[in-house]
Amino acid sequence: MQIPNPYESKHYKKLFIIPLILIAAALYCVFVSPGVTSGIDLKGGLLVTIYSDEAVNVPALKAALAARYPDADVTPFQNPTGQGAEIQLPVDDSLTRAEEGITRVHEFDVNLTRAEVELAFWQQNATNASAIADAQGRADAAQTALLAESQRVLTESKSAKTLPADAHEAARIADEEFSNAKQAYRDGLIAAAGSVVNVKASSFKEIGASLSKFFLSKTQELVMMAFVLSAVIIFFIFRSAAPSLAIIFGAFADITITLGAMALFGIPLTLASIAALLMLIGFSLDTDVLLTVRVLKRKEDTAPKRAFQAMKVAVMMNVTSIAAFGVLALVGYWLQIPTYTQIGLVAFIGGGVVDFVATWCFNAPLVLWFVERKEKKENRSLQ
Amino acid sequence: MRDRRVAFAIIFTAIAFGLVFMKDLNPSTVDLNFGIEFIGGVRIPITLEHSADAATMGDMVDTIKARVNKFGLSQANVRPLGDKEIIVEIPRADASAIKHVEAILREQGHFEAIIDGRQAIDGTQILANAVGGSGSEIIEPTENPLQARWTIIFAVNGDGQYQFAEAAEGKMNYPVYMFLDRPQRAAIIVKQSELGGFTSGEKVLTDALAKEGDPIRLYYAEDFGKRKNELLDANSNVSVVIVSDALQESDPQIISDLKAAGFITAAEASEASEANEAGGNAGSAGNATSTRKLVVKPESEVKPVTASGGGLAGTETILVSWQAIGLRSAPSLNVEPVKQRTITQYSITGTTGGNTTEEARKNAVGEIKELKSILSGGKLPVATVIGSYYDIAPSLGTEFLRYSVIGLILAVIAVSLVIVARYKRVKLVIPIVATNIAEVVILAAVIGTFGTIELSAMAGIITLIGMGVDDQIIMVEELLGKRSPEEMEERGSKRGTSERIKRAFYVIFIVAGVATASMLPLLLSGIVEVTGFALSTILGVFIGVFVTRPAFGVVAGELFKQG
Repeated sequence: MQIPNPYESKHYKKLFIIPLILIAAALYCVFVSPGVTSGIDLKGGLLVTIYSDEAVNVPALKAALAARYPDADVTPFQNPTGQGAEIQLPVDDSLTRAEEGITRVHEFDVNLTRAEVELAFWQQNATNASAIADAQGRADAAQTALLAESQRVLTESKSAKTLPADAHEAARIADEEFSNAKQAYRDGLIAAAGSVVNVKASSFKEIGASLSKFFLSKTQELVMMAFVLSAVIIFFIFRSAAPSLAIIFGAFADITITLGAMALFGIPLTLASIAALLMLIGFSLDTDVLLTVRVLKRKEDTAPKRAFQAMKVAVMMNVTSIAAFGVLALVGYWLQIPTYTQIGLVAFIGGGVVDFVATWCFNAPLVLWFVERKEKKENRSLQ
Repeated sequence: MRDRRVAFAIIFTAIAFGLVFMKDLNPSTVDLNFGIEFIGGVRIPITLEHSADAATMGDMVDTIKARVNKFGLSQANVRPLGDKEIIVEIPRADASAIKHVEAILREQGHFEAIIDGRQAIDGTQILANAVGGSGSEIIEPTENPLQARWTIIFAVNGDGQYQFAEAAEGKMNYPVYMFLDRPQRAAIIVKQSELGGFTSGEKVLTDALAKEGDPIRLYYAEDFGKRKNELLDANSNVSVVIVSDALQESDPQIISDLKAAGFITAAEASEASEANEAGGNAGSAGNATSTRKLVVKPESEVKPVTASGGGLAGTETILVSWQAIGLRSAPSLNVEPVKQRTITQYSITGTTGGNTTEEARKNAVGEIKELKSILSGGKLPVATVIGSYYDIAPSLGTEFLRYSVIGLILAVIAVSLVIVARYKRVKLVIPIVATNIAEVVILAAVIGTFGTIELSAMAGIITLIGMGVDDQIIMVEELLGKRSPEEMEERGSKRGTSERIKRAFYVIFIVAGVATASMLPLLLSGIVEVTGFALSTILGVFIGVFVTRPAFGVVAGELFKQG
């Protein structure tokens, strides 16, 4: 099949339009609608995957969960390797509040002890009446605060226990009830599912509020660092602004358009998909560097012909990548392993399709333009 | 020179195969380490209520690790994440593991302070939140710049104060023996050599062992034969006998005497109870939980540690620590507690030295930490919450593993098909596919032997199949491609081919550099869900650049020279 070499036409620069449109569309998808969803890694929540030998009765399962877990999202699946359902739940608000409450309970416990020690100190000296009164006041206030917070934790933990008057003991009970509540939440979920489905095996993933916040901020840090580090190395290798900027922009375009695709197809942002996105930086480079080196540093034929030749090689590379990532995504889909599916899909879209567009509709015209201008300059100077 | 590269690659691949299958000399098992996603287990991230510095974090990780091992969850992996999380991973555990971990986090030892054989303070009488803390941990310089003076302040409740006052009456300058988990109804058998020349100081030892109603009995291995009946007799009221591992080796007679009298180690006890259950002897299960225990400790713990300059006259040698019986410290009593039932604060001070002022100070910080831990009963320094949890059933894990390997094979096949479709020359396809497979095996072997193949690492390995072959393609295209007029002359010559291969490598090196750079932050993040992926990608790149592709280049070059 003979495809005409688009780089030999005078209008090759019009190719720029394609990636620019895609980037605009991607930005729309990401920021306006439908928007990128975050997985439980980044926003917290529970993901229970139950496997069964029989098909899952979804309405019955939803009904069993409705009482205690009203926000549950049930998605059945059926694959060559088995069938079952995925239950996804957001972080339980009252348990999150209870967790925050427990931290305060511990803090107030410490405050109360300090106040008690201080009070004892002043009472023993018995000379300074106002100091004693002050200390007594602080101890009383600390006592009240601790009891109140412990009660709050108990309420959020939906516990019916009554607290004793001893605030320290109350704190201990609040601690216990909170742990029991968390455990009951998990156990209840499995039990509810088990009442409707014959559970053969299950996997349970819970990411609490504090861990997800950690992941969120850490991934933002990581993405920035990866970009900066890669940019530094690229500049270091190529030493001139134009090709380096072209390559970096190519990677950036790659990631942006892939994010848009993720928003469109509902692929969530999780630790795995972010790792795959970062991998795209190095990945898109394979084809970009191939292009740049061949066009700029070779001498056979003309630049447009070299570019076209490079594109043919790159197509091969893209196809092999698509093959491997496609298999990864497929295995992930069959086994219900979100990590595989996400990495596979992100790399499939980003490394296969999008990279092709970004390299050949953006980087190639850019590099050819650069070569054209250089040749014009050389021609002029020869005269 | 060329043959060396091919030979190098082949040797590497052979070693890799060896590591994968033959590490335990059984070719039918795969001997790599797999993460909990493939063998089942739980991952419990523990959140600290406030950030901890590196030293505190290290201490907490070590403490939790030791406790988890003690619980029998011996393959557990405990590591820090950032400055606010500790991840505990227990392979093959089920959901009950989380209750164990919760118990471990709350675990507290039993503290007691004994003065002249009388219990002065019990752990429950120390106000838990008033041990050390801001304002109650002080380090000051002394006139000697190479020494630092440390102080830690703690408080006891009313009952503790009263009991302390009673025990301390008239005991000024006596050592206050502080124990953490002092064994009850115990005896310790030591060899003369383990006491470091203490024969005449036996009083020093018995002082430390004394306690009203429950002294720890001391026996010397050398004259055990004469005195053993008082210990082994059924009415001796001794439940625990402590010996060192060195004694276990050097005096097997003593050990067999002890065993004959019913003193068995915890390991033997659980074996016996398992055997009883298996044999259907439910009735005799009671024997296995015998109340007579034999505890074997490392020799270093059985040796007591002494200091001089203590005691009533300030010149005596006193015992300050004896790990085997839980004696952790023995400050001397410098205060006369008043007999009243009110909360009272006390301080313990000491001096530490060092080669520099900094070192003295650091040692002082260490002393404060140690005492703080002892007084708190070994409670963890930072409060924790278990907010998250990840659990995979082992049967599921095995399925994941099986299908992942199938996926690996499918990916190799898919990629090979593409290569065959494009290049059509079998002679060319074989080296490409062989290189691909070699890379995968080497990568799996390296990660699985020196690390663990987690889910994300496996994803990275499958990814490598698609990415690795790209560089082979670049090389092949280079060799197949058009040449400029100058190069036409060199076609077929040694220099021409190797030139082209070198050029291909230039591209390969650049890509390797950037790929590593973009994955490095992920690798160093410590987040296990991505470090495996980053590691496989980076390692895959390195293996390709330094091992397999040079070999491939040689082979391809040869092929092209002939064709």
